[in-house]
Amino acid sequence: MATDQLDTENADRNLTSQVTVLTHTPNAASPSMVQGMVAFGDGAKNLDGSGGLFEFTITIAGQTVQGDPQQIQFSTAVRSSVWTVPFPVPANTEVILKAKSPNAADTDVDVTAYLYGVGPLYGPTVYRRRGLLLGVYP
Amino acid sequence: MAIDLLDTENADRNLTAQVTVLTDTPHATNNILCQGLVFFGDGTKNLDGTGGAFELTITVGGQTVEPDPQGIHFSAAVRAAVFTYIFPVPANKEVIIKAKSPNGADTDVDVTAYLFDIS
Repeated sequence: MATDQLDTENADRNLTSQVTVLTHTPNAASPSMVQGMVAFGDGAKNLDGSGGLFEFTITIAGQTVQGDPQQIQFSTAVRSSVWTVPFPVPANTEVILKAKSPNAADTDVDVTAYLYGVGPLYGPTVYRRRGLLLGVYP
Repeated sequence: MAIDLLDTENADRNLTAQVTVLTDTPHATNNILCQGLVFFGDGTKNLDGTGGAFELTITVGGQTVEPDPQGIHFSAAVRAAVFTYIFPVPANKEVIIKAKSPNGADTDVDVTAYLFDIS
């Protein structure tokens, strides 16, 4: 079964300070279950390869999802990606994904962010996924 | 893809002691897979911005879901959100979501809680 791509945004980003990589309102009339994915580097404009603790922030309707920021240890791969866990979004509310690199050389990186509609879900598989958006998962 | 909103409750809450933010019985005869989402602050009645270890408690059919409480480290954002695990609810069982702030100034915070059916 195909997954709905709600939005994708591509740009060359300066990741040395927190930058918005995607802004989208999934559904004006109904709640949605969504999952984000962000790809860094495209073979031409890559990460500098230092790795380290990258930071992610997600807001839903202007509310910052906690704990924040979500930190992900990146390897030295110059083309990397992260995804969020699936999360619910009330009707007519805006989702924003933001990212930040710890590396001063990451001033011009190709970044593509995606937002997918993934619900309704059947739970067990999502528990095993490792993502950046931890919510209240212990 | 759309999911079903089972319940939403909004009120100004005193979060300095544990307070119930949502009560709902998803379905009288069917088992339901649920997920909760709680917004703190609305731009007017916000969190005080100290952050720290907030606590959530969920009960299903009167049973406290363990481990309890669920501790979430909040940043200094004055408008914050948390979502729960996806969790199963047996037929005709009541779900209660409770929250508590570690900050003495969070006596009057706009809180909106949602419960979604994602099954």
